Amino acid sequence: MNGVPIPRDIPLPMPAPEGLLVVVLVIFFLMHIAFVNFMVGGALLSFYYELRGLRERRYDWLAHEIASTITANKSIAVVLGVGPLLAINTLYTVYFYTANALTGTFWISIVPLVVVAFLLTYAHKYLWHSLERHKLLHLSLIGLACLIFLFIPLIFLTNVNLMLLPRQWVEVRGFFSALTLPNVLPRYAHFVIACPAMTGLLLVWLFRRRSTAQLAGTGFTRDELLRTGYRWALWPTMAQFVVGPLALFTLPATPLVDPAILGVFGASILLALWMCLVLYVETNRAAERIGKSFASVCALMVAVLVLMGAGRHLHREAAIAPHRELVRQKTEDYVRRAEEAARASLPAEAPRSP
Amino acid sequence: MDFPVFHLDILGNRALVAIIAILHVLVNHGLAVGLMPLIALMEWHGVRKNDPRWDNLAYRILFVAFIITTTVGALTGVGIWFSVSLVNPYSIGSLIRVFFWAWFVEWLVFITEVCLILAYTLTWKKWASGEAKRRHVRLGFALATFSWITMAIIVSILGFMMDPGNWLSENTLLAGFTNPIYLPQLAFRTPLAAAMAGIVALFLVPFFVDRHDPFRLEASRAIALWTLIASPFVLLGGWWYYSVIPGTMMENLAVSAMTLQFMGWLNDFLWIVALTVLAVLITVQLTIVSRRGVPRFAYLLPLLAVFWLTGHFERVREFIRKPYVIGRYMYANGLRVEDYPLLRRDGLLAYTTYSIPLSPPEITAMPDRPTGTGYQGAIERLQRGKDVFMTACSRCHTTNGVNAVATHMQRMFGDRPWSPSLTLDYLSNMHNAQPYMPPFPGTQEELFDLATYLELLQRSATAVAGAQQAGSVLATPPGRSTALRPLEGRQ
Amino acid sequence: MRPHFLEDDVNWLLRWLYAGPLRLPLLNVLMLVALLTMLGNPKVFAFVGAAAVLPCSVLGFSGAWVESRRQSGKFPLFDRLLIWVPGAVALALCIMALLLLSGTDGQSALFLIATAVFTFEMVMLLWAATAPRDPTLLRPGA
Repeated sequence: MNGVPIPRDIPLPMPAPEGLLVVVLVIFFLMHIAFVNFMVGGALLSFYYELRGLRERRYDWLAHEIASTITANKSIAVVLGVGPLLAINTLYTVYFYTANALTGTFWISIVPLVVVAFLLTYAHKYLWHSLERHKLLHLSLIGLACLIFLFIPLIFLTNVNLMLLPRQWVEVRGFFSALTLPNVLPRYAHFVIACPAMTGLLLVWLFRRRSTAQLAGTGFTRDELLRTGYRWALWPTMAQFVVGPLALFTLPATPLVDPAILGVFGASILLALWMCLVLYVETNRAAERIGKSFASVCALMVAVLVLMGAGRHLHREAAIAPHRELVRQKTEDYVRRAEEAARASLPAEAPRSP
Repeated sequence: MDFPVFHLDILGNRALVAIIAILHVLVNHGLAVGLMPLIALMEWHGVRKNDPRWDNLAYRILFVAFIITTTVGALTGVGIWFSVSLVNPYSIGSLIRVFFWAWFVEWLVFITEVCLILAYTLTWKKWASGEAKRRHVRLGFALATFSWITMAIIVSILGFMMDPGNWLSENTLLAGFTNPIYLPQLAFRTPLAAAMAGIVALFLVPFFVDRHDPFRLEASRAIALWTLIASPFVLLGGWWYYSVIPGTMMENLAVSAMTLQFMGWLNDFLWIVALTVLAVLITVQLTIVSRRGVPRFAYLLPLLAVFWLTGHFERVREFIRKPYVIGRYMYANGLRVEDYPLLRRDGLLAYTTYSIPLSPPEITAMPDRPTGTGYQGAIERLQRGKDVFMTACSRCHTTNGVNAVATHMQRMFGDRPWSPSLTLDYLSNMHNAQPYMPPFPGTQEELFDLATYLELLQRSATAVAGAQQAGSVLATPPGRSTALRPLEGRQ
Repeated sequence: MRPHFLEDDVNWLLRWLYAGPLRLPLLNVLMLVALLTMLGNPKVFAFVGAAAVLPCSVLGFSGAWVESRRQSGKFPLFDRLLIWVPGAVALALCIMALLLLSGTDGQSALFLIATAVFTFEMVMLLWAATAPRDPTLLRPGA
């Protein structure tokens, strides 16, 4: 049986106070994941509505509207991911790079996969009218993009999960063995369900500013569209009350137990309940008043996300704090020995032949 | 390096980074940094002339650039991070600790650039006239400026890594801007981007403007003019860069060791620049002169020349680093210069956490297998040799693929058996014969172990799996005799 | 008897030569370069080549000057660049090619490349020298 590896870290100081780096990591990661939700959810919903649009024409229009949002959201999602990547490389160097190396083939395949998915969404959007009579082909473009978008989160989740399990670094062999570690799959379900939920809110934002005149001829009224958006936000979020706790309680046991974690997640659940209440009220509102509570819904969602991000961070720290201490000690020890050895023998490099 | 060792044994680890990075440079130079100013100018010209044909053409060229930069361009940028993190995590990890804020600022500028290109492309049709159109034109110039700024920042970080000594004395962002390679590199890349963009635009014009439309010639001439003006600066910038390299290299290598090979490459660089510029100029001059236009495939030649030039330039730039990955601080194997006394004294493997077990083909290829207790010792020696190879050599070498150790050994020793007694001498003095090689970071005993492992390569051409396939185990500290079970049932 | 067939051929040839703006210059330059190459002395080549370049540049310069003064248009910078830059580049490359080949021995690859470049750029220079006088060459339909 193998023990727990304790590698040494890079012996350079942090470029900024750790707290600042954590804020960069958590806040920008939440922004990144929100736009990823919009992107993936947009693809899924566009596919769904285009299918419905085969029978009812007006849903084809809705599918096209949703598909149009993917263009901007995907680019923002990608660019917002760079900051958290920098931060996580700095804060969790040993952990992150180790997980990357152990799942390297699939990790690097994210690049070509995402390129293909993006090109498919462009083809889907810009060839909408020219492929009007080739719906099967058109649908397969977005269908394939959806499949890719649904696969890539697995790669990310596998990595960030493996990262916190040093014991597994000497057990896993390749991506698939890391994929099946707890609790990648419950977290994946939690993420996938969040996509249509967040996109529902995007739809409300998209259509609440449009007037009745602008929507004439689309086959939809404003309140109908807002209700649709709110429903997408509400029902998957209700499912999260089952999937979320499942993901929370199947988290691998951490060496430290931080009671704050449950408190933070508990608070987020309460806020989410409140948000669902507002969502429910909104879906039942009359046409003139629907959309009035949108700002509160968004505020609540942001609060929920921030709490989840914070809870996740606390869990991260609890999972590896003892190990980090060991790594720090090992690194210090190593640096000390290196200095000692350097002092004891000069010159520092083997002399090159003249 | 103290990570599970990601390794590509056929393509080689360097190639992974090179392919992604060069693709990224081609897209961001030719379709972003160089192309945005040209498009902004074309739109502006169309507004001032009140000629919608310029506007239409500019939009269509922009659209092609938009599709490619937001997919291939953006993802290869991320891909560089991913690939370098896999191939040399200690170097990128160290650089981030020092250059975090530079990359952070770069990132903020990227966000702006992405928002600008989204806005510029998606509002083109909406902000079509009057004050909105003027706003749109300004947006184009803002985008062009930000694109250039991102290049200016990243080139400073790149340049810093090449400049030895600076890391040790002043590892700050400012040092990145004042090192001797910075301005020459920027002076080379900026006109190169402009020329590349011009060629791309010339190639695209025939797709968007009909052959019989006189506008095709007018637009082609204008774009050709842009390229014509940029091209001489490519040569000048290339010359300036060429002239500062040797001085920089001298710091990295022993003075007497400036090898013929590298100087050959550097001279090649200058010739390639000259020939590329010539190819570009001739094609572009023909564009200006011809009445019926130049066939579009004629632009493929200068385009390919520019690709070749870019690839060669990046290769030369990367080669300047060697044997370091960060000048005078960290060797290409990920080990710091100041680690060497310790590793030489105690051994490389004394401080290596991970090990990739020997595979069945490797064990089978073991020459003269002893029996009984000798067998266990031989296996342990071989395992140590493999660990040394993976830790100290695999960043740049493969066993039988690109830059293969087997090829080098074949060249040095031919068909004689590559036993340690034959190869040890060469291995211990390699860094003197080949100045790109870091010195060996271990004890003599470990060098012998390495030589034992390398002997396998004469018999086995099986690719060695990296940690991403074969996983990693805890390395057994040397001196402790534990039974090392060879991989059974493990690939 | 006058050989009509020859006269027709010559007429055809002259018409063909005058049909494209580059054909006559190309023919002239090729003849010049062929002659200079046959001389077998790179230094003489460079000297005579320079002597050929000089009047072309003067012609080009004066033509460009006149044309650029004539430009009343809304885009002075762009039009001026279009008038001056092609000729300037061609001239610079002609001179560079002559300098390069004057240092060779008349046999090497470098000599051949430099001669080819000189030929091409000389034609470009001639075009640039005559183009400003013929507005249709710069702006078809202008």
